[in-house]
Amino acid sequence: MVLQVLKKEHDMIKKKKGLYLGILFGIIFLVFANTTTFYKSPVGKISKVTTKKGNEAKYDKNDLNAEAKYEQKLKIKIKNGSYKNKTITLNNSYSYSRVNSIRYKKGDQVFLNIAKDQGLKQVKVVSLRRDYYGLGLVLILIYLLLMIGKKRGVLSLISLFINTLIFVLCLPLFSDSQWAMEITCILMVVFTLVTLFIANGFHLHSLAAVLSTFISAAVTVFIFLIARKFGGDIDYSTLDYLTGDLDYELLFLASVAIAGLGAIMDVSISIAAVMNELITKNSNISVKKLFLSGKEVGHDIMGTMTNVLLFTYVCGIIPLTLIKMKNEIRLLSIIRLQIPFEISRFLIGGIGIILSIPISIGVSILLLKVIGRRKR
Amino acid sequence: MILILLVIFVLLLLLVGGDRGVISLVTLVGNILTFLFSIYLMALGINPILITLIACLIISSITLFYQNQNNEKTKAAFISVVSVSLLLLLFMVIFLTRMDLYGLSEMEEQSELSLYYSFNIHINMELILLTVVIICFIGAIMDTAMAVSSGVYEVHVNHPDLKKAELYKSGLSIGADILSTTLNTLFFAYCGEALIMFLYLIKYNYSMVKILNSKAFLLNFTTIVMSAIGCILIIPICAKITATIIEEGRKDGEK
Repeated sequence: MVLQVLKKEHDMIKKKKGLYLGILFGIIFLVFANTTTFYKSPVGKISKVTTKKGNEAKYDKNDLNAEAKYEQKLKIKIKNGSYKNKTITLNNSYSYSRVNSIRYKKGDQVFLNIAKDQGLKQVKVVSLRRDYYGLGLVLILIYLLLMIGKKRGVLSLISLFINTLIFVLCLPLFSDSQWAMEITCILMVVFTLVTLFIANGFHLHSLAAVLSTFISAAVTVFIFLIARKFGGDIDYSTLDYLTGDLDYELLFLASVAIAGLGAIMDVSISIAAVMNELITKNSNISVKKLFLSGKEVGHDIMGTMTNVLLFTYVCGIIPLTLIKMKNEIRLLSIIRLQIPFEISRFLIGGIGIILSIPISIGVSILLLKVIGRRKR
Repeated sequence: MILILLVIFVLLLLLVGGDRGVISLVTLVGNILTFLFSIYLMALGINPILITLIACLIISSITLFYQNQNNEKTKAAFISVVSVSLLLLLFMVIFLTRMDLYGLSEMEEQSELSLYYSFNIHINMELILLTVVIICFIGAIMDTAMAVSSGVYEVHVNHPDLKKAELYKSGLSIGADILSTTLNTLFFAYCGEALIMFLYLIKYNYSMVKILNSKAFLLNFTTIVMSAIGCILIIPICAKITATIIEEGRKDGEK
């Protein structure tokens, strides 16, 4: 009886914790969204927007110069700096497609450029302030991780945080391409260890996942290098403008390797986790049954993961592809010429995923069943 | 090189996957074709949102039902995917429309694209933005849903006498393990793609503030975080639905 009451109180406290955390995050978000004092440039908040149609142009398929244009009058209140609380009015025009124009809305915050000697007579909008949305999303993510993931959520958060820190700190190191390859390798090892051990604990099945990740990644990179050696390289010229004088071949390999690493880790730990769950519930389960279950899970995952890769890599090209298609370039040419990167990324990631299925089944069975058994 | 990679990929798919490998290959092709056809329709000017919704349904159906057969696992995964999508749709639309991430990124704006192409394409880029994020989102949560329902089912197969509550707990446990690496899959996929973008932005002396407010950074970042939120939410939902469907199936079997 007492236990029941205590449990009820415990549950209520847990629910309250969730509520308090939610309120705290909400406050953090609102405070950050409305604070502009820490910005060097002046920031304004749009208090009123009036929109009216600009030209009477009707869309003509054969004439790519005609499109409906809209004019906006923006009433902006400056929130920081020496012109704080002053209000100005600016004009903006945008087209129906908004490929390179923005439709401002009431409540948007914008960075302004106020010419030093002209004061409020010469004000331009530089760009939108969007960072608080990013913060909002991160807060929601953290909240859900903690609420649904609980202890595992905290660990995942820590590993994500450490990985981000490492990644950001190592970014400038890539500028010196001489060491790019070595840095990438070290990064991949560190990322794997941090992710799998912190987020999943120092268990035997985490170790199994780590080992299978290393093996799978190594084999995948090996395959990539062989394919490159025998099949010639892809055309990097479209990448050139992005990297300038950096070694784009190495950078491409690095970016593909890092991107694929995540997928390989995912497959490895998924299989190791299921194997572990099965053995935990029945330590006498036979190797054959483990193998069959692993194969089942692997097949299920293989299909969806390769499709995940497909969509993640490929959906980013939609906007540019549409622009090109509307400019009379055929879809087939776009595919052939413009997206070899995405295709390679996808293929290498896919190869990594497929390879890691048998490898992680093998390593998991070896570690969990054979070695784990001896311990008992 | 792409040809060789393609051959190796297909070979491995068939070797490791066997019959399932063939089906996966067909699924991939089916999804690619759906995807390309959707782009083609969008270029014709048809409402992108309509196309996206239908395309997502088709893609989910192909990926889950055709590829993994019509069984309790896939039914659970499909229902979970639809539920979570509906749950988060409003949230995503609100955020994305307010963030104004559509159109060309800062890097593309500074490139020579405007010299070669006209931008009066009469396609609402705001809607296209929603399309991009939703498709990426669906892809990510499909995978998590399948992993959870598959894992729960395997536990059930090996321990047919486990009750719904036990199966749910197993699902949560498997989900907890998967959670962090699903997040990290998204994280690393993002880092890999963003690596080059970051180096570009740094080279052009974008300050930290500018990067954090830029379309280029936030577009990818938002897509990844929204997909991650979906993946987290779908774990308990899918575990519950899978356990329920297995329970119903067991009850039917007992009858």
